[in-house]
Amino acid sequence: MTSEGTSLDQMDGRVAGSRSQLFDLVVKTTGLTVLTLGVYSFWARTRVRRWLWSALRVGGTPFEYVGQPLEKLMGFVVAAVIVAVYLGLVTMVLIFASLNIWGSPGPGTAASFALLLPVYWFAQYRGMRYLLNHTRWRGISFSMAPGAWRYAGLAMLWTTLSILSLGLLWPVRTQRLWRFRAERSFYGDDHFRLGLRARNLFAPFLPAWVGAISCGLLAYAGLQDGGEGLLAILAFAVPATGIAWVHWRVASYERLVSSLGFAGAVSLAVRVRTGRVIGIHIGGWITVGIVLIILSIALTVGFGAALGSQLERLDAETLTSSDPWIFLVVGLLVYLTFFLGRGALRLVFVTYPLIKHIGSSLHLRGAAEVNAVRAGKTHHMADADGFANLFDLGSGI
Amino acid sequence: MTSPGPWERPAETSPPPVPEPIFADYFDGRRALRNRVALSFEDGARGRVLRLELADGEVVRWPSRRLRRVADQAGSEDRVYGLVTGDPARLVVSPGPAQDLLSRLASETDRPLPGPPLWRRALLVAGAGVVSVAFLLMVLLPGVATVLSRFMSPEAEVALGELTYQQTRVMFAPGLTPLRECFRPEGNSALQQLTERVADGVDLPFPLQVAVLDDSESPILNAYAVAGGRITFFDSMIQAAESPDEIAAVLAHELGHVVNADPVRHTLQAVSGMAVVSVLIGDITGGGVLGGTAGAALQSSYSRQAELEADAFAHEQLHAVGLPPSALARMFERLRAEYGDVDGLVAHFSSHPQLADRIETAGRVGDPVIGAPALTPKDWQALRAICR
Repeated sequence: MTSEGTSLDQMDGRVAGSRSQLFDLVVKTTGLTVLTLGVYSFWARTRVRRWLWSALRVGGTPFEYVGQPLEKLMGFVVAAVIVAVYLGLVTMVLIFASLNIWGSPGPGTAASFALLLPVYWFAQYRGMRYLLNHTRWRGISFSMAPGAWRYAGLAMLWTTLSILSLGLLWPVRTQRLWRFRAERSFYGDDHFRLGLRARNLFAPFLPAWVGAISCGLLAYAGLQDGGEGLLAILAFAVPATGIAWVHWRVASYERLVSSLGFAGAVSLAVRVRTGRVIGIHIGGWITVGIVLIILSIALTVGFGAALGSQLERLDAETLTSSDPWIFLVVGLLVYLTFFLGRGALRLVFVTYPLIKHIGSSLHLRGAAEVNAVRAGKTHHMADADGFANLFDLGSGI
Repeated sequence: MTSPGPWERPAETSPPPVPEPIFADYFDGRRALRNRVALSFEDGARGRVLRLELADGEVVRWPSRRLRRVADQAGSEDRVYGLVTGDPARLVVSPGPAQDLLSRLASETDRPLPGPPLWRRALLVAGAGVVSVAFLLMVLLPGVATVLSRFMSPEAEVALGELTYQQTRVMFAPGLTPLRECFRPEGNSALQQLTERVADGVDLPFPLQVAVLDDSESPILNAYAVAGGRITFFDSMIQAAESPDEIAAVLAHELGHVVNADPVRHTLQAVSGMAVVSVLIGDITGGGVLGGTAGAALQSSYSRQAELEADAFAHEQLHAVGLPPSALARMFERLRAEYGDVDGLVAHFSSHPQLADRIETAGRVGDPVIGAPALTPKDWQALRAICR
C-alpha cells in the first residue's frame, strides 16, 4: 500500500496485546472490585484504560492514559452530590406538580427525564474532554477546550430539528456535533479539523431512513386492518432496517474519522466493515454468555461442595439462627460478580476486538508533520469524568 | 546515529563498559519528535543515573531512584518508562539489550509509575460528599416533602394513593399477579361498620377506603396506610386477632398515619430518595437492582417519631369512641409470644418499630369506660371470613 518514496510520511496503526492478556487483567480488577464492594472500581477502570490505550500504537509508539483513580473518585463524589440534589429535588417537585395538575405522576416523571437530557449531553462532552485531556502520545498530551453547555445546546437544537424533519436531518446533526468536538480537540498546540460536509453523509443514511419510515408505515397499516401479510413483510423489514442502521453508524464513523486532520497536513484514514462489526458483536456476546454460564455452573458446584460437607449439621434451626447479614453479603457478592462480570467480559470480547478492527486499519498521511507538534496549553481538568460515569457513557471503557 | 560521541570517554569501572551502543526511543514531553537515544549508565554521588544521549550530542540524565515503569501495558514487547516527578517525558525500550540494561540499573525501576499524591484531598472530598448526600436524604428531602405534602390537593392525594396501593398489591405478592382484594358482602359491611366506629368524628378531605388483601399464600401479618386515606389489612392480621377490638386498635393506629399525612409525605420522599440512591449505587456497581433494593430499605419505615404520634392518636381516638387501647398491647404481646421479636434484617425491612417498645407504651395507658364492643360476634365472624 505504501510506496517506498513516501514511507517516512506515513504511519500505520497497530493494536498490540491479546484477549487473554486483557482477560487476565479484567479478572483481577473485577475480582478486587467485587471484594471491595465497588470501591476498587475507580482503580479498575484506570488500569483497564491504561492497558487499552497502550494497546493502540501508531507509528510504533503506544498511547498512554494518564488518568488517576483518586481523580475519578473525587469526580464521582462531586458529580454524585450535584446529580443527587438535582434528581432528588427536581423529581419530588415535578411529581408533586404533576399529581396536582394532572392527577397522575406520569407527566412529572417524563419531564424529569426530559430535563436530564441536556445534562446527558453535557456529561457526554465532559466525558470525552476528560479522556482526551488524559491521553498522551509521543509524550504530548491531547486536550479539549471547555464547551460542554454549548455542546448540550447544539445537541438539543439539532435533535429538535431532526425530530421535526422526521429524521431526515440526522446526518446534519451528526456532522455538526462531530465538527464541534473536532474543532475543540487538540493534539499538542494544534487543533483537529473535520473536512467532511454534511451532504456526504446522506448516502449511507438513506437506506436506514427509508427502512425506518417504511417500518413505521407498515406497522401502522398492519395495526389498522390487521393484515397478516403486512406483518410478515414487517418481520423481514425490521431486521433489514437494523442492519441498515448499523451500516449507517459504521459508514458515517468511517467517513467522519477519515476526514479528520491535525498538525498542519496530517490526515487520518480508517476502514471499518459493517459485516465485521456485526460479527464481532454477535460472536462477542455469545462468548460472554458462554463464559457467564460456565462461571455460574462453577459457582453452584463450588458452593454446593462447600455446603455438602456441613449438610448433616444444617437444618432449619441453624439456617434461621445464623446472621442474616451473611446471606445479604453472599447475595451481594454473587450479584456483583455477575453484573460486573458481564461488563468486564464485554470489554474483552466485544470492545477490544472492535478497537483492534478499527485501530489496525488506521493510517496517517503527512505524518512527518507530527514531529513539528509541540506541547500546547493543557486544559486542566482534575474533576474527572464523574458525570459521564453516572450516565454510563462510553460504558465499560 | 552511529557517532561514537560518549564512547570516547574512559569507561566507568563499576558497570562494565558496553561494547555496542544500546538505543531506545525518547520523547522529551515538549515536542512530539521521536529521539533515538543511546543508553548508558553512570554512578554519581546520589546513586546510579541513566544517561540518554541524543543524536545531537545533548545528554539527558535520569536518576534511577526516580525512574519507574508505566504499568498495565498491553503486549509484552516494549516497555515504557517515566519519572516520578510527573515529567511527561517518556522512554520506550524494546526487548533485548536495552531492556536488560534498564533492569540492571536498579531494582526500583520495575515498580509502577505512581500518580500524584491525592489521598488527602480525595479523603476530604469523599467525606464532604458523604455528609452532603446524608444531609440530602435525611434532612433536605424529608423537609421539602413535609412542606409539599401540606399543599397537596385531596384529588392528587387520592390519585397518588390509588397508584401506590396498586403497586403494593404487586410488591407484597409472592408471584407476579397482584394480591387479591377480598370481597364478601357481609364481611365488607362489617369492615365498613368498624371503620365508621373507629373514625367517628375524624374530619378528612377524602373518604376512607379500607380493604383486606388475601395473603394466605405467604402470610405477611401487617397493615399499612397509603396516601389518600387508603388503609389495607392483610388477612393474616385479621386471623391473628382474637377480638374485633384488636383490629379496631390497629385501624386506629393506621388512621393516625392518615390524619398526620404520613403516607403522602413518605411517598414523595421515597420516590425522590429512590431516584437518588439508584443512580449513585448504580454507578459504582453498574447495577440498578441493587439501587432499587437500597431505596426500598430506605423507604420502608416511617420515622420512629411518626409511629409514636400514630400510637398517640390511636390512643386518644379509641378513648373518644369508647374502645380499649389496651387491645393493641394484648395483640402485640401475643404476637411476640408466638413469633418472637423480629431482629436484624427482617426488622429493618418490615415497617413497624420493634414490638417490645410498642407494648410498653400501649400497656401504660389506661382503658376508658368501654362502650359497645367494636363488632357483634356475628359481624366479627363475617369479617374473619371475608377472604374465604
